[in-house]
Amino acid sequence: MKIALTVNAIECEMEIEPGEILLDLLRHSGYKSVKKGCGSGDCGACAVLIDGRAVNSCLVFAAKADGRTILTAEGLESDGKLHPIQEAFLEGGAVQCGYCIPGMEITTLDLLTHNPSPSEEEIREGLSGNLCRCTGYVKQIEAVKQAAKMMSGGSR
Amino acid sequence: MSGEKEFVQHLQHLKIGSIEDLLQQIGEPGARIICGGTDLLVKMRSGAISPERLLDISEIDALRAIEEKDGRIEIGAAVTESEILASELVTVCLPLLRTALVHLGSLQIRNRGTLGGNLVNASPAADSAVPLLLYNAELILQRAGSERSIPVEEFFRGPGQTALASGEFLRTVSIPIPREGFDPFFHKVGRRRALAIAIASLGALLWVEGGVVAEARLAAGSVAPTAIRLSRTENLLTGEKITPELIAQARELAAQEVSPITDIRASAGYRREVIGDLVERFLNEVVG
Amino acid sequence: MNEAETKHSNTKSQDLSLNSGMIGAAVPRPDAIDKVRGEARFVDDLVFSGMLHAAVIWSEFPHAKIRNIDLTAIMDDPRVVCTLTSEEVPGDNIVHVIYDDQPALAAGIVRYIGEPIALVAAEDRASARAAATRALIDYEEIPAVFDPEEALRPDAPLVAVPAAVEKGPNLFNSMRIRKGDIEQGFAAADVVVEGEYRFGYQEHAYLETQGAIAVPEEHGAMAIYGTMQCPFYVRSAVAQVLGLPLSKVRVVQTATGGAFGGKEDVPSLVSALAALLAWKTRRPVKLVYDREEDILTTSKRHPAVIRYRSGAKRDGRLTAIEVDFIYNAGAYQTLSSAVLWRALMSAAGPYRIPHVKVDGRMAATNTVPNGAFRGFGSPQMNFAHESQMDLLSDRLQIDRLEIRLRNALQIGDETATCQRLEESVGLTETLEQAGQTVDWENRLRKIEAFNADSHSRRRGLGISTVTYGVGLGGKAPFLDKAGAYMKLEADGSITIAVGTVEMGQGLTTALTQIAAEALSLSPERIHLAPVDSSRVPDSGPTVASRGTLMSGLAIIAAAEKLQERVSSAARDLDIPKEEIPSRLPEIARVFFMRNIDPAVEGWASGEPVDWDPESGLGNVYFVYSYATHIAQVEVDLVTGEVNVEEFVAVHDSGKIVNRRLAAGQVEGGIAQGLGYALMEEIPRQGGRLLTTGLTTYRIPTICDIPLRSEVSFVEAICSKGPFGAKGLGEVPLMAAHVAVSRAVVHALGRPITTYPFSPERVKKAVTMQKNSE
Repeated sequence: MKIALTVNAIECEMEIEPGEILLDLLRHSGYKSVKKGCGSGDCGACAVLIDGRAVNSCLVFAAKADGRTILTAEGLESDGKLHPIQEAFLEGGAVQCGYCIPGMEITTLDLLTHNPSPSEEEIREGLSGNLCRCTGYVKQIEAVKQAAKMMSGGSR
Repeated sequence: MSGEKEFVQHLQHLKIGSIEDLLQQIGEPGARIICGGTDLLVKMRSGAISPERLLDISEIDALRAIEEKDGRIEIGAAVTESEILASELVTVCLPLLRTALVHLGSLQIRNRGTLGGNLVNASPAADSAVPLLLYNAELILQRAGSERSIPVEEFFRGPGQTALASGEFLRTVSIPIPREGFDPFFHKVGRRRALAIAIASLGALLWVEGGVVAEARLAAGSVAPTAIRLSRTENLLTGEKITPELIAQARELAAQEVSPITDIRASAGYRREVIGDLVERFLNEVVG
Repeated sequence: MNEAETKHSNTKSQDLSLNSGMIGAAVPRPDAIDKVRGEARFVDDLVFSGMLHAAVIWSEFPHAKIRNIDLTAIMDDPRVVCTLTSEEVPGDNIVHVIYDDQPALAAGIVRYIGEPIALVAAEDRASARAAATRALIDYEEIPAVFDPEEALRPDAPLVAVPAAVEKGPNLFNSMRIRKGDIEQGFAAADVVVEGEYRFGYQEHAYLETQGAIAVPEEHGAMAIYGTMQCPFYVRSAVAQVLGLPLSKVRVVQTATGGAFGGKEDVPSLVSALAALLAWKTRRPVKLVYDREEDILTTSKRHPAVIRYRSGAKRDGRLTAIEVDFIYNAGAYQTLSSAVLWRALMSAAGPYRIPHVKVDGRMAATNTVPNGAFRGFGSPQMNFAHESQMDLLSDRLQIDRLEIRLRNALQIGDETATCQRLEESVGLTETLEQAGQTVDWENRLRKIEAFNADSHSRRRGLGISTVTYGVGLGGKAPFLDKAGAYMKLEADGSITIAVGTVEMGQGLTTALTQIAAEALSLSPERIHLAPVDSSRVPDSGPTVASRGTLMSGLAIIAAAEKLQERVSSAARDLDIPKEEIPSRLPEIARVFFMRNIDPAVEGWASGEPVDWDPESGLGNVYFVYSYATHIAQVEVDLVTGEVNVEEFVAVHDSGKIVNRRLAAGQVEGGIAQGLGYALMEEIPRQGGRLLTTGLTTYRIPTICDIPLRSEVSFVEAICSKGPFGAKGLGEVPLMAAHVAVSRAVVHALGRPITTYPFSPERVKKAVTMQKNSE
């Protein structure tokens, strides 16, 4: 079957099997920032935004993307400039192996869109579905706080 | 099919536009309702189920509303957990439902997972079950030509088993707004603080009037084949003054009333003990 | 959460003039930009033209003879290209790690559930996986043994390949330490305390699962692209199964999504399997494990039982320890003998003990082979030696921090292997600084006051102090070496190649800083090429917290050579020293015109170490790192749940090359340690592991980490390390898990001796405590 969707602001049509998973479709279509870590919705490495909400793409049928707007980490940059969330993760030393990072940035975007100045507890609740085995999360919490400041126009 | 796509199963994926459409399709052999898919996909992947036709109800408007009606909150089966958490009505009127859902899965799961899905999945550990049991929620089930309403307690029949008949679907969860003046309690025991499947959970609502318990509602998850009300313990408490002796009795009775199993998360003995002790903690908190 | 603070100490004897200030600076990671863009290429992100996809047929029985393998149904699907069994292996059917016992594909017998039996290659991954399920394997089950202690009984079924057992049936190895006179040591003791400590598995749970792509190259060569720690191990393994010379196998490490030891030995097997199919089909073949396969079939931290007796004087000074331990190796040796050795070396902890008797055994069982995991046999021992110190503290009524200070190794002391410590011992400073940071005595009083007021919640403070011998050590004295290749490009930029890998720990950054410092250049001028085994000599594994140290030394050696040539050319051109960096392109042109070789090689070999297996004594590591961690927890007495509230970590890893990265390593180790202590567990039923994914194998989430944590460093300079640095990577986990578990014991006032401290185990201890009151 054919679906029509928008991925990272590009409208496209994709040919899919009805039983296909969005994670596989996106990776197959070249969006390799969408990582597979578990296949069971536990790690968040495959998080993408569908119509502005973060979801684990390993738990979504590709067919459900029909008519939807998808954002992957590749789509965070605009005009060749890093998104404030990417910049905060980069500058804040929040990256180690980096496998969890695209998913974590996506979830952070959902969090900060719906709650522009979250408390530390809200940051923790928001990112609890993005596992990281390297960093111990400390610098990631700081990066999300920094990103919140940058996105609300505060000083860097 | 090509390259690295791993999960390709032969099935039909049908977007359902209205309840009428759904009623027409639901009886087809091999059909299964899908909404958020957060449980269903995991089960399909493990091979536990292999439906041939998926009926996607996530865009049926009639199933997507949260409304207040005649002293009740009605939540459509396809409302996501995130939407429930964002609802002012729920925050004000059903705080325990909110407390339980905050700890369900993760943001990504709550963005897709629905109240209806959580109930129909009928896990003994379903996070929404305990608060809905406490609120005496009614489930409105519909099939072609008829609908019925049953208490949530009667909906669960066993692990993964519900009262849904063939051709029937869960349309609405209808929750009477409880009268004011209660002491609430909710504790989910997990091995970690997020993304955890409950090892055991206890929720409670207690009305104390004139020094005695006017009404007691206690519900527990992950300690029986379904989430359950602890009705014997409730009866013990009702009409009584909360004393240390009563608390001790309630603790013991609650532990007896559950029927847990041993699995990879914890032993039956631990679950039994922890339910009794949580009842004790709650009652101690009530008497201050 | 502060940026890590650093305190200098033991620096008197060292005069290391750091000219450009690179060392210690928070230089940003060069690899992070690709990672935040989602553009870093991990193995599963790579696609080669004509590439096939592999699936593995795994053993379903823990111990069985294979009567017949029927793969005919697999070929039903036209998208399946071929199958492959052990009979077709062109070289040796062996994946060599230390011994030659593990086959690439089981031949005639399987020894654990999850052992590879046969392979399938197909045009796409789904077809390969589906086809693998159609294999018909006819097994004849034979008696199996799963418990390491049972495996060592004389009547136990024989698991191990005879050629791989050093010390008897199912006894892969045993090792010992005999220092002083143990009888005399205990006779001199005023008190003796004993404990038995038990541990289950810990799974690495790196976010990126195992994977490799084998790509046939010209002239019968094979290239491997994969996620790994040890490209040279992979190269040997692939050459051996294919029967190729080493020169015809090229191994390229792809961006690696975490490893923690789990990608030390396992990638040799994964790559060998992919290579076999690529050899047979003459097409590129990708093999990527899914999470279930990764958890069920790859190595983990060894389950263990440790029995420990310690004697001490009334003033707390240790007189003797006697330690006996058994680790469960699983069905094949892999790295277990090396793990056993490090466990042995860790048994005494960071303490001065005159009389030491340690016996360690590594038993073969019909379970998945265990291997390297951050700490490499030490973490189990760390819990044991620290539990013993707390028991002594309790018995002698000497404060826990104080008793550690009284026994802490210092310069001039002898370790348990009779090694005299000559420099760089920052242990006491870590203890003192950790104690000051939490305000130890006041904190204990506050906790006491909180506990007196609370019935159903109790707080506790745990302290742990550890030491870690950096590098591979005296059991394999020739192994520790590394090369670096460095060239001055025509535009004045510098290309460097090394053979140790970036896996998230920050090696690329640290080595760039070391090169920048050694060359007096800014880091932007320096590029570390992707690790490719054809570029540098065998540099050993990226393990044992040795990456920065060994490759750093090799880079410094190369830099010195290059500097010499550059300086000489600069002199000829009358370029003053301070202008060299800006005029490097000019100098590079002179190199070209005068035929000066712009490429140099650096080589580093470990300082001399030795070990005598008979006595177990020797100068076993050339330097040690140290750490003290303190954790505060709150225990819910009703449910047994533990909340880690606060964490203080103080490390001595010598000079810190990049403070921010180092703090990140420590923070990550704290989370992994917290998981090991409290939540990570794989129940086993016979030979079957019962957790198959991240739903049931729970690692810490962002909600589980402490609300407050403070990481700091004391820098006891190591004259033999690059700019004074020692190793860090493994130490944080070793110290962290013990601080957490000991804090729980402190809160309860009752010992728990089995890992992990699950709500159920904690609750049980609470109940027992109540009953005893």
